[in-house]
Amino acid sequence: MTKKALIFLAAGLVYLALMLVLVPGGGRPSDFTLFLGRFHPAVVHLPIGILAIGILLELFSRRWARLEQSVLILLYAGAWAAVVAGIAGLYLAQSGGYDPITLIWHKRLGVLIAIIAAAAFTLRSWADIAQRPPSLIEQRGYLGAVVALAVCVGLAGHLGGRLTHGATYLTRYMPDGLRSVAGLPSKDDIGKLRLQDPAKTTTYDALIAPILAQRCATCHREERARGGLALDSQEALLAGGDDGPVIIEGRSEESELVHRIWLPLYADGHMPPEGSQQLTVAEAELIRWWIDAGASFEGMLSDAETTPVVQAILDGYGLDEIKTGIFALDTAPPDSGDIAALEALGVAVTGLAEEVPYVQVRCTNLDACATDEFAAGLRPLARNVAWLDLGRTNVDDNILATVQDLPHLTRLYLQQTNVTDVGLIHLSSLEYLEYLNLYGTSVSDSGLAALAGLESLRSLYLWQTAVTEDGVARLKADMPNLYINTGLSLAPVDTTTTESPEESTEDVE
Amino acid sequence: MNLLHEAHRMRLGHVTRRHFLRSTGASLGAIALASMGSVPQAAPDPLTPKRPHFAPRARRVIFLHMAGGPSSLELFDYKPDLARLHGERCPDSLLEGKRFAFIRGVPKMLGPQATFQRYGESGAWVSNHLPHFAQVVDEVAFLKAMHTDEFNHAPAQLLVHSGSPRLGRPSMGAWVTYGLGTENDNLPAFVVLLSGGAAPDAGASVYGSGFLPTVYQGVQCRSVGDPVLFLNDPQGLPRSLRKASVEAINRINAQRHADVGDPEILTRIAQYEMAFRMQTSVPEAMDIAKEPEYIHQMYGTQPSENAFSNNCLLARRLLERGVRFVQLFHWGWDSHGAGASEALNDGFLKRCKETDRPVAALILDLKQRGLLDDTLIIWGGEFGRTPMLENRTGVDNPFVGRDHHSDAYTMWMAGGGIKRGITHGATDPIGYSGIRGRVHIHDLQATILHLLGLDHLRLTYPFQGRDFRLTDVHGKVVHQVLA
Repeated sequence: MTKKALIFLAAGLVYLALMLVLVPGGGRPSDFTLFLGRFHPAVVHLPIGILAIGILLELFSRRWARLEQSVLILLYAGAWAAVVAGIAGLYLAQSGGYDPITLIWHKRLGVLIAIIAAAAFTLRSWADIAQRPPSLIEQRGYLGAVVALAVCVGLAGHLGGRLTHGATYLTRYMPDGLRSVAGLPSKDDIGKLRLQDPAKTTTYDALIAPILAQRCATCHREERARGGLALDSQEALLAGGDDGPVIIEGRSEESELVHRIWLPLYADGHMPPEGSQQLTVAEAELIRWWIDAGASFEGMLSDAETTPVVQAILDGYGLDEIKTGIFALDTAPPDSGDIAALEALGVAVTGLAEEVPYVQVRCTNLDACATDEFAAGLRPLARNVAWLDLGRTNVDDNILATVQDLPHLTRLYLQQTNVTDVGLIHLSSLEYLEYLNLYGTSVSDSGLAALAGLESLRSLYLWQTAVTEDGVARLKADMPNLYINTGLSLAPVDTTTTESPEESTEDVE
Repeated sequence: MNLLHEAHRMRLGHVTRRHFLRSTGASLGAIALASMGSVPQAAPDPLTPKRPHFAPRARRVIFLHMAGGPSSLELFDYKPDLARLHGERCPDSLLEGKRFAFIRGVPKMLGPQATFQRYGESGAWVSNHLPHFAQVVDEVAFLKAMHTDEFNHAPAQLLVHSGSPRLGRPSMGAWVTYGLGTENDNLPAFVVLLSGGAAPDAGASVYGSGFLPTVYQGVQCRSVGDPVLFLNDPQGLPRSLRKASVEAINRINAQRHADVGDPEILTRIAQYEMAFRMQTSVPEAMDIAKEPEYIHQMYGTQPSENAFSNNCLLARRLLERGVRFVQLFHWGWDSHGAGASEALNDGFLKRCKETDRPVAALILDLKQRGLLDDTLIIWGGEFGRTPMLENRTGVDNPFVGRDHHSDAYTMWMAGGGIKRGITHGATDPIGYSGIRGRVHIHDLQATILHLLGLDHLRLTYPFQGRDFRLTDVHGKVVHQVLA
């Protein structure tokens, strides 16, 4: 090893360091710059590999001294490789679209690696060149440099991967056990469409955002907005990219986003670029549909008007199997002993469905449910009763004191029973109640007031009760989504307009 | 050979191979149970309520079968273009490869024999023949492009109700009762009411139990006279004695079941018990005289007649009392035009008149009682009718009619779990074929089961070495009509 080699290396290092300090980001780099820059990914694995071997051999050389010379060569070659990769990398960085914080640290670490590698080489070889045994400082310094090198190569490599593949690339397929230790959500939840409750989820959150996140955000996210376009937030999506907006609400055929996705794979400008994971036809169709429908970020999935194609896609996603209301709750299954005890009273108790912890309770005779035993028997199943059919029996307000403690009740049949306004007060706590049948009872306007807070209530049957039109109008004002039935009848029909058989037999050909 | 030996041989004679195999399996289980200190349970009641596959949207079904095949072109499927083509010779392209029940040669096109108007917020087309039904169109989801495989009554009716055009399969009501059990201890789970002067062409098989245990078959009730034949006690037989005799017979039957294990004996026991309870419950449920006058007016009932309107009111009473599946057949829609009773300009109009008001009343009455919310109503025939005039005799006659047609016809559904006021599917400009949203009978069946919480792929019964289901190997739930 000669001084000449060291001088050359020093020159390279100076060039690299100057580039780091002097070359500004932003602006449009020339094609030639980008051409050189794109060699970064190709070259960058050289310093990593060479230096890694170097560090490894340094470890082994403690046992086999003959390896020492190899270490020296590897450090020198590694330093040069780091210089070349660093120069290419700094060119590539000018293309923009990278997360600036990650990028600056990646740049600094890259340059640092070249410097440390050169320093380690110098500390190790200087004594040889000076033809004296190495000093203690040189020895210690060399050791420190090798350790620092190992750390820096690891870190810089990691940041580089993060820039290219995204922050979650490494952990995406981590086993769930490890994920929970790392405080990450279960991997089953990643990239899955968030289809919980179409009435409570927007189409964008449920369908569109996950597709963009999975297929586009590797390159188009705020930390790395290729072409100035980020697709990982509503604002960024609306803001568009360097060439203008990518979404025209209601007009998918004019929206750049849709245009690029549907271009043929071989066409210039097709997105995602050839070689990366493509959108499925279903996903592309959903995005087109969403933009055509106005590209709303607020529209609820349950309100969205579907086309047959989109409906088929949604069916494929299992949208009809989404759990809502009480089915989304974590309720313990009922105890079979409690069910048997209730059935022994002459009451029918049937599971609502397979793998569902809820039951329907149905009174099959007039008096079985009007007893304290029934009320007591209902209590252990309180969290499991979803449907309670007491219609056409002799139950009265007493039972409603128990009914108020059935938190998951969705359907309550009280038609043609002895319940009154007094009993209805108990129902105000039933937050999941959707259906309430009070037809043929003596309830009146004053009882309805208790129902005004029942947010889930959708159908209320009040035929043949003492309720007045005013009472219904008042409740309706409080609860615009509630259907209230107070009886129906057929309008008389003018039978002269309909042909009678006798007449019609005359006008035949 | 001693007496014991002989008795043993006789007993073995009763054991069929199938029961033997089944009971040896069961007894191994019994031995295992006994060794764990528990005693084998008595035979289960085949009608015990069972939980469905998923949470149901409908608890009850009423199927209004307009037997004979009503013409959609005179009721719901408005085709102004067909009026323009009236009297033209049917082009060969429409006839090639098609089979008709009666049309031979080249028929003429027949324009709509009705005037049409749009009704309700949904703007559904309804003809002038159904003025009352026109008031309730917003409750209904029309299936405008139904199609079936059969163009003759009996096989087509069997296909509608049993999923197969041949005899031997269980009917839909039987499948549903098998799948869900009964909600009612005192009435059958599956009741059938007939009107229109003739039974369905396919006979009792359209509400039979096929290879399912007979306990699941439909019970035909009558709206005039004794609701169920042979249900009343003979004169001089007090109810207490009847009770004692039923109990005695059932004890003997239970013993017999223990000996030979034939599941039909369980059916017999259940039927005896049910019949005994029905002696009091049926007269009460079937007595429409107890209904107030305004209800009679609403349905347009006809006292002491076997009328469709009476059956509709009866059906409501049965549904109200927890009968799960009610099947109404109203015969007389076979409008060939070969005679007055089956002419579009005569008998057909009478059928419209007989059914229009009761059907509308049924929808409204179920709704005001809160029952429409979880009751599914299905209206339709076994097939539709051709846009061509059928002229069987080839000579001029005063009656117009259409032939059977399996490619396109209208049915509608309403109630539990069905979208309100929508139309699914469409036919071509002459109503000859479905061009959009075609729904096959098997799809309809899958949809009905779906609304009841049953997966038509999983509701199976093993018979002759394989699992059978209502939809055979077909059927796709029509999600477009689900609310």
